[in-house]
Amino acid sequence: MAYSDNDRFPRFGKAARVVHFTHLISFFVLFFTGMSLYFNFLSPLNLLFGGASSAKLIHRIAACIFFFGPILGICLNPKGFFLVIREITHWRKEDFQFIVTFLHKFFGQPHEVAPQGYLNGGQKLNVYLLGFGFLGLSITGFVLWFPQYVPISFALWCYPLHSLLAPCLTAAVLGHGYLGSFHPGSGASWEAIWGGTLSRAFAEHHHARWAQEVDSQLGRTRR
Amino acid sequence: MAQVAKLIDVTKCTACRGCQVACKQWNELPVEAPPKEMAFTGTLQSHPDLAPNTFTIIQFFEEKDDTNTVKYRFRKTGCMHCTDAACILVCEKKALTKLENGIVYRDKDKCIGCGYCAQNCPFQVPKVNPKTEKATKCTLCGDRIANKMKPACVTTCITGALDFGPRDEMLKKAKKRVETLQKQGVANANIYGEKELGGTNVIYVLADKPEAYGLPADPQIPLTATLWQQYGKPIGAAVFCASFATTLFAFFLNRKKDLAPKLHHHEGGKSHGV
Ligand code: HEM
Ligand code: SF4
Ligand code: SF4
Ligand code: SF4
Repeated sequence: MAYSDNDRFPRFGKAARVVHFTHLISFFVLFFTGMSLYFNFLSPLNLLFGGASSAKLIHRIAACIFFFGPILGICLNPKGFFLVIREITHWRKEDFQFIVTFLHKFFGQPHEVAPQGYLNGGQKLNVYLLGFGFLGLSITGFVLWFPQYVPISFALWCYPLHSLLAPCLTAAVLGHGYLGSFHPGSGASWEAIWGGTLSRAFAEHHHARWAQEVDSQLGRTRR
Repeated sequence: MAQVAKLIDVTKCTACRGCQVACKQWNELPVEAPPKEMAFTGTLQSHPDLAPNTFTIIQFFEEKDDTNTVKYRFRKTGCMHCTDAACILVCEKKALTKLENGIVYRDKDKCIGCGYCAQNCPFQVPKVNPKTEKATKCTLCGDRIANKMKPACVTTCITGALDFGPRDEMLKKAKKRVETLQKQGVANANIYGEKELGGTNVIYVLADKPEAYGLPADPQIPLTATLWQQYGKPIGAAVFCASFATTLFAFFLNRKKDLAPKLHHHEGGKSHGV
């Protein structure tokens, strides 16, 4: 196959993309329905959900989508999941180099980056942050839902943990969301999570090592 | 208004359960759904626990002694109306407040039934009614007190095990009773609620250590509740605001920059991936 500037780089399958956006929506529904319990002055948020009682119900429905969505996604595409697990458990020198220059990237300052793989160092860290945040909020959340089934001493710890994890994970999600949407440098990665593929320019810039792997797998030889 | 207190002298209680009935009647509390099995469960206790429509029960602590005879202890349970009340600390809806007279008052309209108070109360007193989505507990009959009456349970008590009045008077009475009991040979007789949790507005005279009556010897507001409300929440809010402000700042800083990746046409090498 001939090399072309218009080549696309396949990145996320349909299941991953659908799960990503249902997860995203459920996350923000959880955030806004939880916040009125965090600070009473945010209670007017409940009006968006039809009052305190239905906000409580919606928090639980969204929680199920939030929790079971990704699990369904893993079942639909276990290979993709294990690819990510393999990536985040294998760290190379360039991953650390990426993290060192992360703030330059975030604030749009010039910097040099060694060629990155399928996930760059920052994305690897992000998977850990969001992954543990997901597990932490889900476990503590279900305990808050059904406290009668666990020892009381454990349930008592879940209240401060759920309460602290929620704004902290949201803080991480804000940065993640900005980089993947409006950031002029990396915002084009939106194409991967929305449409499934990346452009050649973007793939070679952000994931040079991975782009080479894909080119050679697809037999796309350079001029 | 001066602090009031209910005094519960377990040494005078016969477990007649008149107080349970009086409480139900005054507060118009319907019976709880009867258990599926009405068979004897091995205890003389009437209900397994406090419940949304049961603000007080006589709790039984039965054990066999060396001669294989059953020894009974029992205690009227219910809200202690704590001064350092964990339930108030965790109720974000401000549905629970400490009144001037010492009552821990629950505002029905503000309560949303989140159940935080139920789990965090050192005595697990409040119970959430899933139908009404409200937590309930003993009110200390605030409505009766406001009308110069004694709580319904106190009025009905036939043996004098329950009393109600200004807190200092109740304490004085409790101390005198403990002295008498000790003179009569009840060496472990003690007062519970004088200092516990900042001094509660329900005070016990016990014939034995608090643990023998299912009471924690040194009740505390759970550490986790303090961490959650006094540290976790402000820290979480600060982290969120910092992230929001930083992201917004980066957004405006980068908005006009031309950082979009361009094609290189060279093999591998360094890329300045922005
Ligand atoms: C499987 C996931 C989750 C479950 C099962 C869950 C469940 C719960 C439950 C049962 C409560 C207690 C209040 C109530 O009864 O409504 C609660 C509170 C809360 N939840 Fe969740 N939740 C989950 C995920 C999340 C996520 C992802 C967020 C935010 C991004 C969140 C934010 C909150 C907040 C802020 C509170 C109030 C905390 C406080 O009072 O300090 N939850 N959650
Ligand atoms: S006994 Fe429990 S419910 Fe009653 S005031 Fe104390 S903490 Fe609150
Ligand atoms: S159940 Fe009601 S009283 Fe208890 S903490 Fe929640 S809002 Fe407050
Ligand atoms: S003080 Fe009133 S509400 Fe409390 S147990 Fe007695 S009768 Fe019931």
